[in-house]
Amino acid sequence: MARMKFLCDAERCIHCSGCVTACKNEHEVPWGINRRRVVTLNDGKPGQRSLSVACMHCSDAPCMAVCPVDCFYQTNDGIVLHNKDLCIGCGYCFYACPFGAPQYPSTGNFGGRGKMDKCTFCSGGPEEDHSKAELEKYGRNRIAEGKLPLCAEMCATKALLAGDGDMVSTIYRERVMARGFGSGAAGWSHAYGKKG
Amino acid sequence: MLIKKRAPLTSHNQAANSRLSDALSTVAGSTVDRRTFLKRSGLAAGGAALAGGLAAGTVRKTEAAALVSDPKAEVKKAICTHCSVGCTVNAEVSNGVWIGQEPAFDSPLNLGSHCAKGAAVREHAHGDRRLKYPMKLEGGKYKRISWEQAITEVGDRLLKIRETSGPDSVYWLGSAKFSNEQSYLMRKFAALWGTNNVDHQARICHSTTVAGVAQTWGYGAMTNSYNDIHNSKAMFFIGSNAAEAHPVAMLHILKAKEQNKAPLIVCDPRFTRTAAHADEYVRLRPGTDVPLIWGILYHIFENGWEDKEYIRKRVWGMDQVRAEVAKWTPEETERVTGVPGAQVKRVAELLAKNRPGTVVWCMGGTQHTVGNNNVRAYCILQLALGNTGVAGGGTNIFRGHDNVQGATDMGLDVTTLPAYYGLAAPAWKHWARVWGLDYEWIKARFKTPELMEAPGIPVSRWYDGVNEAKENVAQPDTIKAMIYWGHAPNSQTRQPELKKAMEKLDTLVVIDPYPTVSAVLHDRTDGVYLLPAATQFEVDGSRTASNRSIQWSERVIKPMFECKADHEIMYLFARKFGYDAELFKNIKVNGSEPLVEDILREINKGAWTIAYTGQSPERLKAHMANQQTFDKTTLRAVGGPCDGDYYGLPWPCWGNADAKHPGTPNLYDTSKPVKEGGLNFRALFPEYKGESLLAVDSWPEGSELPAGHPGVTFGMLKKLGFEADFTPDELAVIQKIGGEKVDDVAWTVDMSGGIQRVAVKHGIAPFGNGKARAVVWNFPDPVPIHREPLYTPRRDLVEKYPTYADKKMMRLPFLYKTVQDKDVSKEFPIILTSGRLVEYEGGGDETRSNPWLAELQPDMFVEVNVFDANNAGLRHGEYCWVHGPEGGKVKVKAKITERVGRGVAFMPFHFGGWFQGKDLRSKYPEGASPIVLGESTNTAQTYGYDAVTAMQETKVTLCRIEKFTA
Amino acid sequence: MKPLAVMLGLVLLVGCNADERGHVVCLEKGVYKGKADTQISDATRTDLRQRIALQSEGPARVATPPGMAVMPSGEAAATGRIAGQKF
Repeated sequence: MARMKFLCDAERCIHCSGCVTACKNEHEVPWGINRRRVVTLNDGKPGQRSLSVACMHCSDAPCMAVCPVDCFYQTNDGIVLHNKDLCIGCGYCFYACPFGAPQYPSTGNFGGRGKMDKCTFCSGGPEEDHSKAELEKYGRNRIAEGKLPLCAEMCATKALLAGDGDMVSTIYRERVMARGFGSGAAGWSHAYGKKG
Repeated sequence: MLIKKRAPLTSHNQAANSRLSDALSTVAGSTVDRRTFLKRSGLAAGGAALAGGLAAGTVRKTEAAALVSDPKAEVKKAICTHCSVGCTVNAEVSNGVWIGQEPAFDSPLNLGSHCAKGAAVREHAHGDRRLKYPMKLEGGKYKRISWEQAITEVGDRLLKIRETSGPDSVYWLGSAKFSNEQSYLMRKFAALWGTNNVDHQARICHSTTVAGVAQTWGYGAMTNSYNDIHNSKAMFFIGSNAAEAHPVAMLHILKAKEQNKAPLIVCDPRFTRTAAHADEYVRLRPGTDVPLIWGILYHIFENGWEDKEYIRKRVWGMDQVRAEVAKWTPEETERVTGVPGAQVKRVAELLAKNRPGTVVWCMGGTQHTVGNNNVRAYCILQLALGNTGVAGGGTNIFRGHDNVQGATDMGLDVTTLPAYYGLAAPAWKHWARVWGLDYEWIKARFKTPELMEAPGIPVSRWYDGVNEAKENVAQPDTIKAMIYWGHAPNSQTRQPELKKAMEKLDTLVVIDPYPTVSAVLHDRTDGVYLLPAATQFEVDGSRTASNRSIQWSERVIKPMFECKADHEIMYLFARKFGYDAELFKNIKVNGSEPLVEDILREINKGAWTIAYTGQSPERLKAHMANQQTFDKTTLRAVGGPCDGDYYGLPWPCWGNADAKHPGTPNLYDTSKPVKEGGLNFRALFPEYKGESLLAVDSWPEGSELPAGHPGVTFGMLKKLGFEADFTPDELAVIQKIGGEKVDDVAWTVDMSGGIQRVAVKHGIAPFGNGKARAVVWNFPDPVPIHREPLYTPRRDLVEKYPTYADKKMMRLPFLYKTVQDKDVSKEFPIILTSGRLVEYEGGGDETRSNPWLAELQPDMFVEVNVFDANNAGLRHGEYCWVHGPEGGKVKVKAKITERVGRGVAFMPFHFGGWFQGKDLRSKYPEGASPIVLGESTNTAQTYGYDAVTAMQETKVTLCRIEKFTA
Repeated sequence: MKPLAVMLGLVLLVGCNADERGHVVCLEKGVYKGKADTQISDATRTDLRQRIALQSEGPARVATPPGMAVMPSGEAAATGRIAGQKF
């Protein structure tokens, strides 16, 4: 069954950080927390490539496996979310995550001291949709409104894609066919394995 | 909790208060409006800590309440206030609060996309670091005053200066951040004050482009559009880092790269983020653009790749260029530019074999002592290839600010009245007619009639207008008052000199949404006023994107705090000065706010030269409302209420709005009829020394005058037998303007629009049909030639390629040879250049105050090559000193990288608030300092100005980089 | 003494962070026992599949709705298809 996925096309990403501020804007993410960030490899040299990185919402999410209090769950659409009421801020998930997605505020943000925070695929969390509690702890819920993550929707060069995995693949495949090359869907096999 | 964590430097959160007040008003049924509430809470809070501490508990919840999606939220369509791409911002507003930002997928320019800055514009609604009230410097401290007191005190001071030193001693510095209406109003405002000392950022970003390109083929603007790059088969970037400066443009560029397999060639001293996507990266020595272009043309001519037919029909003077180009053999080109001969040849071949190709340049090309030579060389490259005037070709000059094109068009400039009419008597008479004012009355406003027609002091050198001895300044007295109306001072070179001038002034006024570096750079203790202006999200108005599309930007929220719209502030000053009746003769004023639509209608009535005449407020609003009907490549509406129009009616939009011209998407494109947006080169000079410069065997499709011809006059149309096409009303207007010489009434002054309408009806370009000029005989270097920068490390080339002799222009002495003759290359061995970062814009006062952006670039830095860094003993991330040869020095972090070549260092120009190692944060008004402060590269940047436009040289100087010592 | 104890009790109670209350204390390894989240409807899911077309510059693709995973045989005429049409 199809599931939600992110894909960053390194041939297109220009490290403009539009995705980063779109995320900050949509969820009023506080100073010091970066649910999404852009990394550049081989900076300043030929072969320089940039990638936008956040929680990839993995199929077999390592964070879920290591969490000592089992605060994670996965929606029917494959979105990996967590419950801040259960989270104890231990940091195991940070060590397990291949993408460095989990963030920890140093003081009270998003529901208390040290609770882990991460990308929700713009789908809120385990509170009533569009409730104040959901907003305060997890940010806005675009998915419930029929909208996709704002980072991808606002991407300057449409490098970052988010949505139904099959659709993401189709768009990316068409693009690669048109241009005749692609540097691979970075992180895909890591995040989604063969299960897709 | 969705409250922004208080960063150590943050003051109390005004945004929280705004949402709190909003929530309170509904919860408690109170009628306190948002602005009143803000005022009260600001007063009551007293201190930042108190407000933060007490409010926290409540704020968290109420703030969140205001953020919850509101299905009834209104969507306002505004335009991003950063670069010139013109991205639409869809703002969700609920109860007067800007609660969300959605992608504007319908916009044909940005298709929903935003860069870091565009995706963060909602931070405006927080406005934590805004300048909140009028303030006055008293005893070294900023104190809050009322608007009334501010206008009275500033007004009295300026009137006194006008009395004692003359109107030219007050400098009105406007802004590329104004809307078209505000830009136009400010130019008119300065004219009625009685001075041409009125300028804006274009002087220091693209003035060389505007002058050089206009003199080459007619209009000094981007010829095609971002979208038209979809049609390009090759893309040649020189001095443009679009990935950082115009990120959303990359959407269109990468599309051409992917779908057309168009090679992307990037020429830049730095391996930029744009270069990272290039097929061919050309690293040239800063300041050697002309040699590189001539080196490329060498191969084009050598191999006969030039478009001979095109040149025969449409270009004048190419033979003289050919003679100059012949000197630039591969060996000489490599010796001067440092680019390997084989690569130059490869690039020439790529351009020749992939046509049409587009040429893109930005400030890397323009900000030089030879800026006008550079831009003309780029144009000539396109003329040789036959690439101008075709879809997919052209010179796509990316402008910098969101409305720098519009502000330039509106004549916010020391050399011209609105719409490039110049300053000669006929221009003044034309605008006097449009304004409904007596020409003699306007003339009397000036100190002398000569000063009325003399270009003012360019903004790049306003401080020399203060510091120079009175006898060296060609006006009655030096500058005594400076009005910084939407301009960052840290974007200007020679900061120590600028600081000195600020201290010498009688009065310094800053009108801006932020205090800006102008509030703190100097060591004054009084005579400084800060007046809070509204941003473009707080007013209605039109702004012109780089591609000449004019977009109507809707007001999102009411001005925050005590901020006022710029046009309202202009009204208040005009009233104080006693010429409000004249200034607003045709413009309705509601209370103290002039009606923006009326201002645009007045522009439509007068701006015939560039045909800003068909873009009525109604048509522009209809385009915004029907964005989805425009094709995303051609920009033309297919069906719907705007059927056939090009998006934003890119100028020239001939005739008045009733003529329904669709706008001109690609300039000089002869494949279309003029009435469908086709055009030819302008006949700026019909002849030279007896030789005709009119086009040969070339005219726009369907022209009923199939030949070259000069600009259209009433007499000419009569001779062609088109007199019967004029309406009686049109004839009456033309008769009134022409009097006895009615046949001489030209397309530029006919206020009825009849001449343009009739000419276009018969397929004739109103501005004539001439050849492009490869040789601009009225410039210092008619054929662009190479001249070494004033501060060059290549002393061996100075003799062969010397700079200009010293001269006088624009009321000031200009030094060239005197500066170049002094060899400082031993003590200052590294070339210093500057440029943009994606997170910040301009002087950065606004963007550095935005926490979402500031977090991404917290430190000012210098990029140094590994080789040079190791020689100087620098460590990555540690502070170092960068010394400039004129004594300025900056304390910045070292970024050791291969991005810059050996012997070249780069600094971004957005930082300010530090001066030569000293942090000036304590000098800002309380709670209004930007989150990130840093040294301005311009403290170390040096003397040097373009020989035509006085553009500042920021792209080549010399420096010495040393380990930091306290 | 008594008021002191009450005060002490109050102090202790106040010391409990609101955020810490309501924690799941009974753990079963590998099982999420927190509050259940709302799942999106099929209709929303279909909307989301359509909406991604906005992230590509191409024309909007038509996504196959989840309920239509198997192509109608062509026999049914109820939805307006041509009766008897074979693919």
